[in-house]
Amino acid sequence: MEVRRSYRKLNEVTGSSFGVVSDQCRQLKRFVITRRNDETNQKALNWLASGKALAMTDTNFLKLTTLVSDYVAAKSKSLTCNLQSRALFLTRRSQRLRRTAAMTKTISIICLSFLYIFSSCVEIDEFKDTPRGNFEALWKIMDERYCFFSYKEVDWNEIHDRYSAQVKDKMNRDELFQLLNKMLQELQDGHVNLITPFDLGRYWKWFEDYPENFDGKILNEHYLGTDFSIASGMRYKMLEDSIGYIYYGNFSSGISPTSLDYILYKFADCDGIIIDVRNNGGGLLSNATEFASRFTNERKLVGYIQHKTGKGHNDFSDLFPIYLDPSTRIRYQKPVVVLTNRSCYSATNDFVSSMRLFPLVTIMGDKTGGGSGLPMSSELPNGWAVRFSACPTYDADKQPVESGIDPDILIEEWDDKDRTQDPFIEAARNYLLKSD
Amino acid sequence: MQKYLAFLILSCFTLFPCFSQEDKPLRLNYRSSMLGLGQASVYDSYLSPLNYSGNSYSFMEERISMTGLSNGNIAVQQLFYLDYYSTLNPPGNAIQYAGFLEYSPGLFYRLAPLPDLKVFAGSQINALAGFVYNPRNSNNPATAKAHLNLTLSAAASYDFRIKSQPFRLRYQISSPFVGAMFSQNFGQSFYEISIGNNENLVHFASYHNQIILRNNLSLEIPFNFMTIRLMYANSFYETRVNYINTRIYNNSFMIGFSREFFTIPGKKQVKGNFKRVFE
Repeated sequence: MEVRRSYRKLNEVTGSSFGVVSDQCRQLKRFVITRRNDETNQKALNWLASGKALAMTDTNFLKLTTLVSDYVAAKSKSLTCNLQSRALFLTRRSQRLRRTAAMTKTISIICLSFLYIFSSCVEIDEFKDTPRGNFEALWKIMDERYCFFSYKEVDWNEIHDRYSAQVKDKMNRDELFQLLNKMLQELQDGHVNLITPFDLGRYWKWFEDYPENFDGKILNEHYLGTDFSIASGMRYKMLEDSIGYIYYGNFSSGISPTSLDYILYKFADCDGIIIDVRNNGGGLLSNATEFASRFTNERKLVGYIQHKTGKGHNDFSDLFPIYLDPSTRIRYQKPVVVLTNRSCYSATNDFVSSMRLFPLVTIMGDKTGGGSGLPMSSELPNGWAVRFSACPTYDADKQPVESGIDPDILIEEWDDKDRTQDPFIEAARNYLLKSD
Repeated sequence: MQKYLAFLILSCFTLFPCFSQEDKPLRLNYRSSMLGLGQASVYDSYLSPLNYSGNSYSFMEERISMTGLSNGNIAVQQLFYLDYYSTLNPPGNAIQYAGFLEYSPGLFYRLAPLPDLKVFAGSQINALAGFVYNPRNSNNPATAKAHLNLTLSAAASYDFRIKSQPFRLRYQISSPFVGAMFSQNFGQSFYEISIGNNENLVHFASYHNQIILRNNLSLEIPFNFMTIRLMYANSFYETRVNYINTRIYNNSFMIGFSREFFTIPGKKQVKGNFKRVFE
């Protein structure tokens, strides 16, 4: 703006007002306006000085000289500004290029890092869907994740060698199933199953080799009859001698807190209740906890749990305590007998393990079946599922209950000839009546 | 005097936005919403030693705008992903589901090495919550996935024309490099966690135990009334914690719309002086 303004003024005065002839005016413009360095500007000023002879008054000459000087100064300043902005532009451009180069370098390093990282990705064990592949996959799953190798003193490597020799490439589906199931049975664990669409591999010796001590027909005909109530999977009835009786055959049947309230309220006037969990093979631990919480008035340490922390047979975490909090709803305050037999397994075993700690509760019957390992699942390349004990649990004294829990009162007599009475229920009734 | 000062202060507050709006260009927000379909692979050794594969369904929402930081060269981006996978094991007799919710806000420095090329580099906070669920399993039916990471990310945008039709090609790569993640222990059940054993569940996460990568390559085709965005999205998620290995990857083709908009308070006339993210 300053350059333009001074140029306009100069152009005006170099017209005719100062009486400068047109040739001289053009020469003046050529010197002053078109030349940009200091040397030629100085020449222009000198030329103007000589132009004093061209009938210019001193005042006009002084004005013209001032105007030319202003213009030259403005032009010089503008030139400096242009140079400065040019330098700034170049500096910024240089910075931008440096930044781009740095970014390119960084991105290259990142890409190379990715290449390095991806070369160390996790490897997935790929077992083929062949008899050999399925055998090896099953053995490895159990080797890394089964939790009772040391407790049961099982030499799993020896078992591998023994059964591996029996694997044939041309085994059919049934032969493979039988072989794998036989290998799993070496663990003697009711929580270990091989689950296929055509059969369930299992180990049931924990109850098959013992007296059943339970007859559903006697129970229905001589105790429950036809007028019993059912709620939350529990069959319950007030027996003739004012003893409440609850049969709960499966901890998978969801327990409703409201149903429990009704059941326990109904037995409020009884002298005691019998909770019969014989032949209850387990289910959900949450149901066992909910049921047991109705029989304690204080927070109670009921056991411990641990888990595997690695693939080694003895890689376990520290024992973590399990507490049972008393229910905030109806709690039973009279004597209770829990009837057990060898078919009490898993969550039922856990229920019995908790109940035996409560002062008003007595465990009667036979030893439970055990099953203290919380089971987890996996699968083989051919799609067969496998279930196994993964997290061992212990009682409140940190003792394993995998092999079962002894009752407080063992009942050994089960007279098969007398089919009109259940000796376990009769023993429980007598016990409750005496304790009353 | 007090009245005068109050008037002066009020005037400053009242007039300042007007001046700033007139002097500075209005920053446009870029927003894109996309739906996708693809193929996913899910491997989680806690649930199964087999690699499950199947369909993936994805949703992505992206928002970017320039900020006034660093001479207006800083862009802020928000990415929101919702992924759902339904997969089968190799024999085809067991199903496994997975779902992930992911949010990544981040700041990017923008460079323009060429008139039509914009390069972005920056960092994001990457928050993820998800699950892998195998209904067939007993006490290990699911694994929970969660992490909070700091992510390195780079992006590039290139504008070009074929005949008279303009196109914009965009690519973005992101990978978390440090953070924290949740993982249950090797043989730990969620029952044990539920009764209070929270030990060793949160882990420091970096490339030694976590590799997560997202690649998005998209082509935007502007029309008179909308801009269609087509995208190939690739995600890779791998963790190695407590002897539990997880590898999940997904390749999706996504389609959606993108648009640029501005928000100003009140009814103000807006002149055509805009600052766009990719221009």
